[in-house]
Amino acid sequence: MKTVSILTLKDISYGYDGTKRTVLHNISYTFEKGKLYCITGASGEGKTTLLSLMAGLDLCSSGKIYYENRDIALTDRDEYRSKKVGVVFQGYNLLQNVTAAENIMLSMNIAGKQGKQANKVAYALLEQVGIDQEKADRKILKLSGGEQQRVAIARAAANGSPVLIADEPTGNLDAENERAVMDIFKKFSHEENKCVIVVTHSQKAVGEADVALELKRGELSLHTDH
Amino acid sequence: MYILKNAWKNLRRNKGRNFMVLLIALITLTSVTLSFSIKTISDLAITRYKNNFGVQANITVDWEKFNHEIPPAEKVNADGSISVEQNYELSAPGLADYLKYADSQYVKRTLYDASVAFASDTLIPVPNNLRPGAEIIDIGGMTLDELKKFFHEDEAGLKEIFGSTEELQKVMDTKRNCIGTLWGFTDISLLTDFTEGKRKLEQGEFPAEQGECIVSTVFAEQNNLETGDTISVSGPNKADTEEITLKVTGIYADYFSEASAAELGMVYADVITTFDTIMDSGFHDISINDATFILNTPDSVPLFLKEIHHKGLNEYYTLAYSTEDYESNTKPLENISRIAKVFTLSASVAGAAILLLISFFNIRERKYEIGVLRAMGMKKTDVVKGMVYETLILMFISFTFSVFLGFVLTKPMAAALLGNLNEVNKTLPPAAILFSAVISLAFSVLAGVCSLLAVMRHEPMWILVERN
Repeated sequence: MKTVSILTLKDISYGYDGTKRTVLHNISYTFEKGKLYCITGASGEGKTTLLSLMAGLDLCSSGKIYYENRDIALTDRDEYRSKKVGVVFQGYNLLQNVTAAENIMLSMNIAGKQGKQANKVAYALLEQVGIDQEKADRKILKLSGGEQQRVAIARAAANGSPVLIADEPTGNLDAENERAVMDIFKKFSHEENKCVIVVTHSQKAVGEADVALELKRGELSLHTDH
Repeated sequence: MYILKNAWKNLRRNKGRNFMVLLIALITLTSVTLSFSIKTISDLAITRYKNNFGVQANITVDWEKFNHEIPPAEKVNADGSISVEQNYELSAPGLADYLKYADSQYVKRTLYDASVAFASDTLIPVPNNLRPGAEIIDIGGMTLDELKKFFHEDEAGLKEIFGSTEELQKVMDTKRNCIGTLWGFTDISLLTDFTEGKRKLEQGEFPAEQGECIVSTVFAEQNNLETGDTISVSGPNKADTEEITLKVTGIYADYFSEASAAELGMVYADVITTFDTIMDSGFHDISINDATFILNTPDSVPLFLKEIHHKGLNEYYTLAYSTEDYESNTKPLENISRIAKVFTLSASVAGAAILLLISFFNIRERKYEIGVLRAMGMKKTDVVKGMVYETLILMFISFTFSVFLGFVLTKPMAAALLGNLNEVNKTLPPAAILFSAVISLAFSVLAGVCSLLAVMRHEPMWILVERN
């Protein structure tokens, strides 16, 4: 199968404003479509920071991130976030006073997908991650942690973005839910040809990945145990 | 479109918070609408009063200045006594002067009281015994014989006025034998004899149009006149060859005391008409008895005085004016208008401050939501737009209800505060609706600015990191 690169990190470094400490040092790596990546690393190594940079939520101190060979710093990052990349945040970051389905539809609306078709797609996506219609119409606070996690995944995929980034998506889940979530990611990467990048501490999740990477002392390398 | 729909949904999702905003906006906008209405109604009434009343001003001698600058000279009489004599003769303004002065931007209108003696070939004069003081009042109203007789008996008086009987004869040679006086007024309010109860209209109506008149009961009986009849009169001067015809629209009765009737003399031979009738008669010897200028505002007084001096009024004449009528009517309304204005501004500022505070807390509460929307790629402008839509919807609802309440409450409130003014019946003035709409928009803009600042200040990543 032909590999297609989609997201390229070129010599990226990142340091927090007001501190001399850099958390990421000259990282270069190319992510490809149709693969599930897992990034591991100890707490404080900058995993979430790296995801934020790839998600277009922040800009590198130096270096560049290319999406389909275009520097995301020079593109409309709002559009990049709404159409090119879907993010599953560690704390889910769902709108809590709206229903699961409305969360999905809002994401689609922002990506420019509106109307009744979007409504159908939203319910189908939720169904795909194991949320039935009754739960889809519940407000977020009335769903369990695992269900909220699935809604967050469905929302990340809702805009049809080729890249899906997830920050500790299985951290709060039991083994069964963890496997279910990883199955969803595998399905997205292998069946829908998305590039799925998961930051995780879970060795089980790492075992499911096509490529396992480790972030250590600000540098990204292939996982030695994979 | 989805932003608007989402804004509407958001309003329904956060009923408590939005109901509070709605209530505060409604109270503020209703207060603003009502107070602005009261202000508008007061201002309308003030304008009407100003138009109607203005400041009454009359030309009068400035005695203080006159006596100061030209002190009277002492004169030793033949008998050794000393009398004081003013050698400077003041020339009083005549009819033409008054008409010239009245043509001014500072003059709203002028009230004239003019008179001219009249003669007639057809009307029978009121007998002398019914007009006891006739001899001493107006030569225009006397016969030549009466005048001669009077001055013969009073040689000194004759000399003082005419110099000699020959001079009198010269004057009288130009005169007709007049039988009464034609009085012309610009305004019915000038007929003080009627307002003071000395005269009363027994039949018909006061003259309103040119060519109408009222006559006394005595004069009417003497000439067998009834309302609707016409009389023809000519001017006091032999040069007045044309007669004018007057329609009798009413008959009045005199209730002067005997003493005052004696003083007034020609009282029963007074024919009262309009000022325009006299002016258009073309008669000679029309005299202006009184001219009252109704000036626009008290500020117009010095400007008008300057103008009439420039137009030729003697420098020793000034304007006597009273702002009492003007102020007694406008002052209370001006006070209410001022209070209403202050209240309108206070309510607007207080409402804005409360809504600003609510917006501030609202945004703090919604910081996470803003972060999520921005993380999903929603543009800053769209986030702000959504929040502004929410405020606009709330303001529109509040505005609609406040206008409704304004319609219901303005009239009774205005009646309670302003009494029975004509303007009170106007209900809610359009200006108040417009002002309320402007305030609603201003509140929305204010909320929009708050939202904009919040969205500009916070980057989505940090909002979410903070939260997590």
